[in-house]
Parts: sequence; C-alpha cells; structure tokens
Amino acid sequence: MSSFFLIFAGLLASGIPIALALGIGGTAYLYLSGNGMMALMLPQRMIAGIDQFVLLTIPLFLLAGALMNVGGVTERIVQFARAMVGHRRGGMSSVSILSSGFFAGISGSATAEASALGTILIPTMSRQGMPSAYAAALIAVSSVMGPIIPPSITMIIYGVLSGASIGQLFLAGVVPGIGIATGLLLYASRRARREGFPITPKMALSDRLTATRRTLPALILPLIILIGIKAGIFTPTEAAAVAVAYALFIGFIYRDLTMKRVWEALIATALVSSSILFITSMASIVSFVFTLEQVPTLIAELVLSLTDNPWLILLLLNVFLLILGMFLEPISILILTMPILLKMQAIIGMDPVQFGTVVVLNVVIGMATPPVGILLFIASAISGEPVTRVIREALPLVGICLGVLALIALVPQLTLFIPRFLF
Amino acid sequence: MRIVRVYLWGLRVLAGVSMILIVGIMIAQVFARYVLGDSLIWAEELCRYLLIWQTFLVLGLVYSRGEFVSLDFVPDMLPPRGQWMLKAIMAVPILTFLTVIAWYGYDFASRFDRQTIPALDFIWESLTGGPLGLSIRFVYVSVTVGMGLLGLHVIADLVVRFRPEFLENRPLEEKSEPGPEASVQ
Repeated sequence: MSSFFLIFAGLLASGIPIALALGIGGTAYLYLSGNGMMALMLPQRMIAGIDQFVLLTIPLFLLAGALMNVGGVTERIVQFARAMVGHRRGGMSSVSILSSGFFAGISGSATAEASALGTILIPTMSRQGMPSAYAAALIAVSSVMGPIIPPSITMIIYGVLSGASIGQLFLAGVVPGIGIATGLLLYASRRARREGFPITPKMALSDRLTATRRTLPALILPLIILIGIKAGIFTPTEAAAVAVAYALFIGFIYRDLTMKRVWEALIATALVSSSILFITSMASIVSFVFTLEQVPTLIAELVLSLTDNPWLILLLLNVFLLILGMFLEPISILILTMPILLKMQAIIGMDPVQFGTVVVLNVVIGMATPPVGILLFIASAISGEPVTRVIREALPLVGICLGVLALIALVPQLTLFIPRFLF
Repeated sequence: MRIVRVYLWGLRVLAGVSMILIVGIMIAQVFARYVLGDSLIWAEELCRYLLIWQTFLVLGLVYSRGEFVSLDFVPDMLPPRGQWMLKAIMAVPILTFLTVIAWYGYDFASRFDRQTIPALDFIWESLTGGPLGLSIRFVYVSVTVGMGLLGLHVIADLVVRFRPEFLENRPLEEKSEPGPEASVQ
C-alpha cells in the first residue's frame, strides 16, 4: 500500500494530470504486488467506472450551469444579490457570498461556480477598494456552497455509491449551506467595518423589485429539482436533463442565448465532463487494486487499533478526508474511499444521510484548502494575485467552513430535520 | 496542417452532437413517460454508451488544452528547458500505461463480438423489422481509441513545445482561440 502512495506522490509532483497519476500508480502497484495478469481487468474497470446512468448528471448539470452562465443568468443573480445587500459597508463582498449561494442552487459544481462568479465579481470587488487577494479568497471559499446547496453532483455520486437517498441528501445540504453563507457574511461585514471598505449607494425600491422579478425564474430551478425528485416525477439523472431544458427555456426567454453560444457551451461541457469522468474511470482502477489488496479492511483495522471511540474515529476520518481533499477532487475521493467510509459509518453508527453530508462537506471544503485546493487556483488565476496571497486570505474563511462542518458532525438534527420533516 | 484541422473540427462536432443526443433523449424519456404514458426502454442504455464514447473520444483534446487538473509546483520551479525535459521523461510511463490499457482494452472489447447492443437492436427493429446486430464491442473499443488519441496528443504536445519560443520562454504569438470554453470549467 505504501508503495502505491510513494509512486502516486512522485507522479503527482512531476506535474502529470492527476487522472494519469492515479491510473499509472494503480497499474504499477498491481504489477508490483504480483498481480500483473489482472491488468486484463483494467479496461473493464475503466468502463464500469463510467458506465453508470447516474453519471450522466455530470455533463447535464455542468451544461445547465454553462447555459445559465452564457444566457446571462449569472449577471442577473449578481444584480439580485446587489439589490438585497449591496448597500451595506463593503457591500460587494456580501453580494459575492449571496450570489454564490444562489448560484449553488443552479450549478452542482464548485469549479463552475468559482470561474463563473469570479470573472464578474473579483474585478468588481477590487474596483470597490477591497484587496484583490481577499476578493479572490472570498469567491474561492464561497464556491464551496455549490456542491452543498442542492443540486449537487457530489451528493448524487455519494448517494449512488453508498445507497443513501439522493433526495434526502439534497435536503440535508440546505442547512450546512445556509450555515456557511451566514458565517462568511458575518466575517465579511466585520472585516468591512474594520477596514472601512466603501459603501455603495442603496438602489431605489423599484430597481430592486425589477432585479428580483428578472432573477426569479432562475432561482426557482432548485425547487423544481427538489420537488420533482421528491414527488418521484423524475430520477436525479432526469432532473439534470430537466435543468438543462429549463436553462434553455429561460435563456431564450431572456433572449441572451444564441445558437452559437449554446453550441460552444455544449462542446465546452463535453470537454470538462470528459476530464472529470476520466479521473472517475482512473479512480476505479485504483479502487479495484485496493480491493484486491484488501486495503479498506487494513485501514479499518488500523483505525480500530488506534481507538474505538466513535467521536475520535469521526475526527480521524475527517482529517483523513480533508488531507485527501487537498490533492484529489471530490468524486474520485468518494470512489476511492467508499468501502472504507461505509465500514466506518457502520462502526460509528451514524445516520447514513448525516454521515453522507459530513463526508461531502469535508471533501468539498478540501477543494478550497491549501496547498492544492483547485478553487484557490481558479480564483487566483482570475484575480492575477499570486496563489500564496490568496491562501493567506482564505485561511480564516476555510476555518469558518470547518466550524460549520464540526457543528454538522456533532448535531444530527441540523442535517436531518428537513429531510425527516419532508420524507 | 489540414488533416489536424479536420480532426479537431470532427472531434468538436462529435462532442457537441453527443451532448445534444444525451440531452434530447433524456428529455424525450421524461416526456414519453409523463405525457405519453409510455417509457423509452432504450433511452438509459443508449445515453450511457454515448457518455462512454464522448468521454474517451475527447481525452486527447482535453490534454492538449491543458484542462486536466495537475500539480504544477515542481515544474514551475524549473527553467523552460527543464520543464520540457521533465515532460519528455514523464511521457515514457504515460505512453507505456496508455499502450497497456489500449492493448488490453482491444482484447477485452473483442470478447464481446457476439453480444449485440440491445438498445440499438430495439430501435432498428421497430423501424425496419429486423435486428441491427451491432456488436457491443463497438462500445468497449472506445477505451482503445481514447487511449490511442490521448497518446498521440501527448506526443504532439512534446513536439509542439520543442520550439525555441517555448524553451526560451519567449512570448508566443496568439494561437489558441479564446472562447466561452474557458468560462465553464
């Protein structure tokens, strides 16, 4: 097992794509452990890794997000958030957080969110006199809400791999999402007061109403998805297709969508989705090799030899996932660790939906955690600030997210009361 | 180079068309079940196969556009020449891996020669009255095609970068077309 991690770390450091590092590391480990003849199985594992109906949600939700983006919905959301909180001190920072929350209800992907909102909001915030690095950090960390507030690609994958109800997972994400938004808003307004960020004039009531009316159709989407899945009208995969249809529909109503833009969005989505699914497929190779070598059992035994206190196990698990999250993206972490996770869940005896929410929150926060949080890199690239400065600004914000994570892990009611109430 | 341009154009068209098909079939599925009261039994299967092909087919293009996530700490510390050398060295395990997978992938696919694709058989039969008989091998061979194309792109990337303006880190004339592509990822 340690030989795998050595090879994998070396490959990662050389700068080759993470997907290939996974595949090569897994295959090399297979040969090293004397199971070379099993390499025949690898293509089959690769196909099985992506030959799943529910994985269609990845291109579909990405496409819905892209269409909303080129269809001008992103700008409307920003306008709407501005109408609500823009007049406060350092208003644009609150606007960013709120926009992220709303955008999360459309897109199920954090990276899509960071690049879509970052391009609009980071320059606006710096123009208002906030440090660019802070603006970038704010966008990077609030994008974490994308996969927590429904719909969420990460939660769908978790549900499929673990058997937990996807509808319930979606609902369980609402409170943690609002929690993160609240925490970030409090931090942003304190900081704005301390550093005297400028105030933008309040918009007239009529303008604020117009902004609300113009944005409302986009904000209904998460409701349509939740109700549709809950009422059994469509499966999560079909919900994603409905989201695409809806995005097309309002895009053409708003008249911001042209055929050319749609076509470009289709191709771009196919490429992004391919890069994610390739990681998924390569992670399936590693997961196959791990199972062959009984790595999940070994790790479970290792943990149990350290402690049998459920809280300590949960803490260990969280730290372990957070570290993985610094290097890998959420979906591959879930594929790699699901056998371990399910064992741990049985040992701790936690509710599957709460456990799933904790795990998803954890791997998603990893995307904004240094050293290699992808969201930090996206935001840093947009802002033009070196990533080290963005990281320094991001640390307190990540701390807030970790605080919410701790609350969610300790208090089951926070995640469970909405799904229990509705199901 | 004309052939390269045709190839890239073809890839983009296939990527776009497969996305349209996936979205269209899925929406038709919901529509058929709730409005017509009759579900399309082939929809799910066909979409899965489209997704598999789409994923593997564009891998090379994704590589060339640098859209794969990777860690650049170490390469960024090296001078341009060193970066190229590192890329060239790392191409060896990459190409070996791709060859192994492509080879076994072909082997794997050919075992399914006699098994046909039920979804396509069903559609064909309702159109013409007889089964199409297209082997499921043509789905599984996508792994081999994908690995092959990815390998070609890895080599092409090395060749393209083996030019003075890259190695000396001089600014390059604008070459890649900026599009909304950048905004979605």
